[in-house]
Amino acid sequence: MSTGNDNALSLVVTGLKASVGGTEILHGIDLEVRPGQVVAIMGPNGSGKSTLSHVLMGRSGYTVTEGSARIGDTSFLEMPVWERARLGLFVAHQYPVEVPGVPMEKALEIAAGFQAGATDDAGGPIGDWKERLSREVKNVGFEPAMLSRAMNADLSGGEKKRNETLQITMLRPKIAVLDEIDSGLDVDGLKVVAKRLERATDEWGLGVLAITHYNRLLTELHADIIHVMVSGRIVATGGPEMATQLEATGYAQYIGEPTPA
Amino acid sequence: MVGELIEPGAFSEDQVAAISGEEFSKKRRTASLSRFLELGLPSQAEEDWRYSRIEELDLANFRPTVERPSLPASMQFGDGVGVREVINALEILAPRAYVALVRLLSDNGIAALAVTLNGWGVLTTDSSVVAVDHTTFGGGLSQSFGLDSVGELAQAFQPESVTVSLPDGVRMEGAVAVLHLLVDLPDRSGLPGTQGAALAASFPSSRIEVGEGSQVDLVEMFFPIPGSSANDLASLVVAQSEISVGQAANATLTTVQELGPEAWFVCHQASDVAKDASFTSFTVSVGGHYSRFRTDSRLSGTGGETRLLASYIGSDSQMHDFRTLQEHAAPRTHSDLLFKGAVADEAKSVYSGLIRIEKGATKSAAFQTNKNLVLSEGAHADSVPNLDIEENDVKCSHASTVGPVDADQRYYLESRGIPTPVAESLIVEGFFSEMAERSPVGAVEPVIKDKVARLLGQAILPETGSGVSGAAFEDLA
Repeated sequence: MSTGNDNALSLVVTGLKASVGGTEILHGIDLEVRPGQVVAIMGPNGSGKSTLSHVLMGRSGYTVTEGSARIGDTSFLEMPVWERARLGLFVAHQYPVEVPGVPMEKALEIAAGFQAGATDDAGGPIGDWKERLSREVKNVGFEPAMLSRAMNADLSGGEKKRNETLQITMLRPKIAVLDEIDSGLDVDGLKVVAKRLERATDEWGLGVLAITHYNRLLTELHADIIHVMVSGRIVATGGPEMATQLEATGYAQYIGEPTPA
Repeated sequence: MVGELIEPGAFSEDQVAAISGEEFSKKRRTASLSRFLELGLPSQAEEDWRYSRIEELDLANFRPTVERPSLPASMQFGDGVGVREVINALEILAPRAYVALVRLLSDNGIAALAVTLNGWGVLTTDSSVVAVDHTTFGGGLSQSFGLDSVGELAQAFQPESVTVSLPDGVRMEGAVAVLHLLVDLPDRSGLPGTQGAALAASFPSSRIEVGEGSQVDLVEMFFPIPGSSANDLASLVVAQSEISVGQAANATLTTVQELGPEAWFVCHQASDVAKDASFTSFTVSVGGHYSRFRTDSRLSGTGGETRLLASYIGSDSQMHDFRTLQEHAAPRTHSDLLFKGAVADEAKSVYSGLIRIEKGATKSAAFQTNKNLVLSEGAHADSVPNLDIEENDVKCSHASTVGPVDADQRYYLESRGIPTPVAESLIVEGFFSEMAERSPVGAVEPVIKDKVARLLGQAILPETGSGVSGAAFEDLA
């Protein structure tokens, strides 16, 4: 929900082109996510939605060939991955990987030590870390015992997505890119995760860029703006009503296939 | 290999004769020496020494410690010395060993302790369990696996053996620790055949017998005394460990090698596991210029089981070299091997393992896994698993991996704002944490952590506590 405050902390992507292995996947993306806003990118498989999340976060193998991306006044496409995160960018990964032997809680706490958003003005943690952690664990319906397990080890698809959400609440980024956070979550899980993220947009003005294939995420996490992405381009932009419309018609009208009569 | 006699240098019959002992032991030494001189040092063309750096070892730089080194004043105790007193005295003598032992003392307790200096026994705390024995030698168990020429050299110059013997039906509360300290030679002047000042060659050994139904945790450590040539200059340490685990007994042996960066270390660990007995060997190798463990384990009685575990970490130009044998000589025996290592800088590692299942060892199971992290372009790891199976009704598997830190794991942590070097050290620590969890005693964990931290060139990661420790990372951020 747009609070409209402090647009100096918006994510602004301008004319972004990127390629993988010499093949251009993104052909010039423009978008903006303001603090507190939920912006959705919908589109068929293979349209470059996940590529956008990797390019923004700086995953190796993805090359930016043109364009810019910034949070506030800070351009970040030249930064190493961890500095982008420090700037306030977070990607909830579509397939969170297991990191053997690295306990979830330890990694999170070390990560928080590097995050401006996770600390107060004096550099200390916001509130009591342990107390917040146990509260947020409850909020997203994550099993507390899993905190001492290795990161993402032996978690179900849904648990992994709850874990990604938990990390957002603890690290408090400015912008969260959700790469298919709905995949793996059952109906109840989806509700819990969407509700918590929507609350975060008010709580600290989290800006959300929700990448999804299906409407079902957006019935819970209400988008202010919806972009339709096809073949590496944004081909249509609309308001929340667009999600229901897409649910009925699919993406056919945007990919040049004949619309059924 | 039939060779001509090599130049004995300081490893001569005169030096063998200089070691005090009974006539029969002198004979035995002399026989071992002549076999060594006939064979010479191994060649890297031999399968067992392939990929090693044994051909770089120049014996002419070394001379054996043939006289008992004098005990430092801080270690001179009267009769009935206690474990605590010895450990406190070690604080000055060998601080790293001290730290490990104090940790061991607090986690598991130490029931008895023996200390050797360059292989000479100098101190034991409880002679009913652990003694220094210069009249009876082992060697039979090592020999039963076939001694190479370095093993013969060890048997020629081993001054005495630490013996740990547990009668039947004893359950030790607390570990039995054997600490091998390495010191300067009292006299480093060269001998005929050596090149200038000689460096110390030491031949520590231990024989462990665990009686039927007994239970014990053993710890064997190899440490230099700081400031001695054994720490800063080259030294040669050739060790032998023999462990017989009696029927239905349960024994663990943790070996920590933390020698100085110039040390040459060659260790042969031979074990025999009787019917329904269980043996765990856990090796941590972090020191040395060249460090080799040959770990041979025989399951000679029905239902016996052995777990062979090792962690090794190489930096600079170190080489860690492991040769293992899981020999199943009886039915329903079980062996499980997991060796995990990391190499950085220009370091190298070699793992070569054999599972041998003899005819008649039916319904046996043997597993062998070797995993290597290669942390820099100049580092290298070789992994060679082998099977030799003469029985059909068995279960066997082996697996090995060699590769860099997983890029996806690193990306995941980086995407949470964790700087690359911290992410990598977390992953490396995580790689070894599985080993620390399986360690029979707690003492090895700080040894691994400390080496990981040093190798990644940064402070040890803070323990997670109650707060966020951002300040600790300011230098990096």
